Amino acid sequence: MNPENFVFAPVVLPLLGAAVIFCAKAFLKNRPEKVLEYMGVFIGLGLPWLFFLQSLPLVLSGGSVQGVVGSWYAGVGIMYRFDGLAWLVNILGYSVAGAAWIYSLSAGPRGPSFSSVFLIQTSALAAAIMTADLFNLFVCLEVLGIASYVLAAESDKPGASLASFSYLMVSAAAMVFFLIGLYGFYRLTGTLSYEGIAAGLQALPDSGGPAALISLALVTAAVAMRVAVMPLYGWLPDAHAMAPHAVSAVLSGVLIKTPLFALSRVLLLMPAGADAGRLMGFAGAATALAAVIIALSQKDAKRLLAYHSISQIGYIVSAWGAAMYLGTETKEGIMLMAAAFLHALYHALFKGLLFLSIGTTVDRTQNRNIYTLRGAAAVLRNTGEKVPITLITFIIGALAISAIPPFNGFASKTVLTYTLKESPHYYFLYAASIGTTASFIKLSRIFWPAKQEKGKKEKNAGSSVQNPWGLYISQSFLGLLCIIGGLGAPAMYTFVIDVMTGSGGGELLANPGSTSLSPVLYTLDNLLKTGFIAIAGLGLFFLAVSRRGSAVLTKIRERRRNFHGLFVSFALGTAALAAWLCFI
Amino acid sequence: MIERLLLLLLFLTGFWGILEKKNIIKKIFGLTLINSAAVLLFVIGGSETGKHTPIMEKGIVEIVDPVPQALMLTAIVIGVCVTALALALAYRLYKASGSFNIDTIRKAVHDMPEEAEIKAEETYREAAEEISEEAEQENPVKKPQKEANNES
Repeated sequence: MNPENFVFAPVVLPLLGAAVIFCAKAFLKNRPEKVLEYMGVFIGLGLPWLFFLQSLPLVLSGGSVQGVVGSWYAGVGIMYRFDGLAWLVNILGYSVAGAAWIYSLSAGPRGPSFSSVFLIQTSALAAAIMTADLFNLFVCLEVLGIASYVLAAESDKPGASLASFSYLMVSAAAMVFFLIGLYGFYRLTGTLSYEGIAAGLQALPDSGGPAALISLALVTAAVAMRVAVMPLYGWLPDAHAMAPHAVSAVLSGVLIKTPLFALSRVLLLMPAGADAGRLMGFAGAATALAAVIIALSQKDAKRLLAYHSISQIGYIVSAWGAAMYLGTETKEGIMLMAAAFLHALYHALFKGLLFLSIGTTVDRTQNRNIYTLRGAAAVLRNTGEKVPITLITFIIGALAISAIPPFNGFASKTVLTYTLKESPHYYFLYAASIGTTASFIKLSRIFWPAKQEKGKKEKNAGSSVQNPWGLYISQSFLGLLCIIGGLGAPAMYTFVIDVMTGSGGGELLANPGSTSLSPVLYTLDNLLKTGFIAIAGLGLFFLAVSRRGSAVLTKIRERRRNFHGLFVSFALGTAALAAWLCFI
Repeated sequence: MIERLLLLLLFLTGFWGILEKKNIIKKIFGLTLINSAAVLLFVIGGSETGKHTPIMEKGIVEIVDPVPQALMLTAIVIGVCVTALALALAYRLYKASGSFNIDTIRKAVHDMPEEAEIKAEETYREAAEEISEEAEQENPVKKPQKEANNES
């Protein structure tokens, strides 16, 4: 069996699954409908794993499958490329999507329409990372977007509709900017494939001049909006906080990272891509810090997690931006890129886990307010959780995101900050870690025993779920991956580098002391730093709950946010990027 | 050149609509306008290379560039999907808050999420019950009046 024949499996199988589910919804009822729905999901989320296993030797040997969809001429058809990066991002997407779907079986949203839209979204993810054609990237991002607007609005609350509406408006407007940027490239070079555009621009005098730079700024800014880097993040907290828990996990874990890695294909080829990546790296570092401060001020548990997603994506973007600047031919560039991906993967796991466990908790206690919810552990016990899986998995997730060893967050954050050691980003990320620890201490308070009126609270709070096994399976699965990922981090990091670069990368990194991570990871220095971050985080937490601190935080939380702010910040961000590219 | 200027004007009109109009339906119009501006930009750009329809038959020369047209067909389809979804969401928001005004909607669902949401759901349920009762009594005249009140 040749992997080249099945290269579209991750794209086509979910679509096929979605089609099966739609048929089930249209023609069948009750039990047969359910059976066919599960079969569709198995086709869509299960079968692609066979392909990933089968194609692993190929990507490990540095091979890739590329060509033109439907065997058209290269100038006319859509170019695609399945390589190590696509493989890795697919693995990330499919593992979190699988866990989230299993979770949705118990906690909802259930039903064929949810499952099919969910599968379409997964398919668009796989397509976006595989494409090597700018217009096809536009289509994939739009399909991805449309599926996620629908999923975000799946919850019945009106707040979810508003969040989804804002998300839709700002992201659809951004995609129009993308289209205009694409027009600029097409006018200049007469082609749409990444490589064709890059070659065309290099042939032009001055690489196309300001027109090319502005086009690049438009394209990059539109994708950066999806990634939610700092000035363009406004839509995310509401959309992620209001969506059903399973959807939040996928939105935060996977959906904001795929466009980023898809963009790296464009930026690595473009003449001015390095500069664009550099600015995004700075924006990422600023994002990491600013978002964590806002997160610390939140009172809604899920919104706090959503702001943390922005902060963590800031970590990823800062390493990614530095990698774009250096290029992935250099050793540092590869290390940065691998670190960015490792953190993206690990963040997907622990953030997915946190969204699911907090989701279970707020469902059972029917309270999302961090300031009023107490004794959640007792409520969970009372609603039928004999083994405190939710509590344990929450603790795993919280320790992982606060970078406490041996969980996976510690490994990926240490690698990431290690690779960024000599840049100014480092200090931003360091400060952000302290904020992360503080805000998770704040969030953990919901599990502390309630001080008073204990009996009363337990009586009226808490609603049990009918069929909780889906919750437990998905949470334990992600929790286990967090621990395994943490313990096996050195091997994982080497593996990511190998897959990303093929066997050539291993040789590139064969210089002493750089491939093996273990001496880097558990040095006294790093452990001391972790200890310092934990203590400083505790200090910051007490500062935040003090009277003065909470007044400041309330001010941050209640800051004015409105609809057109999203658009103004997007327009300004795009203009800033264009100006940066033209004048630096 | 004049087409480009007109397109810019169309684009700016749409963007202004998204930014400044309070009514969410008008915002959706704005989105459609900027989308159309981008589509027209492609079509005009493609049409500058030739004069004739790109049908590959004998005797037809100087055809326009067909690629932008093909691309724009896709873009138009996507635009329609997005607009439809946006309108569906607008309808939902209207049902929840009784208004198309973005500020009113935000106030209704956002400022105090929990209480406001419960309240909005209750109001909606009450309104629905009222309407169904009215329908039973075969006296549906009051319904439009209620909506008019909410609009103001």
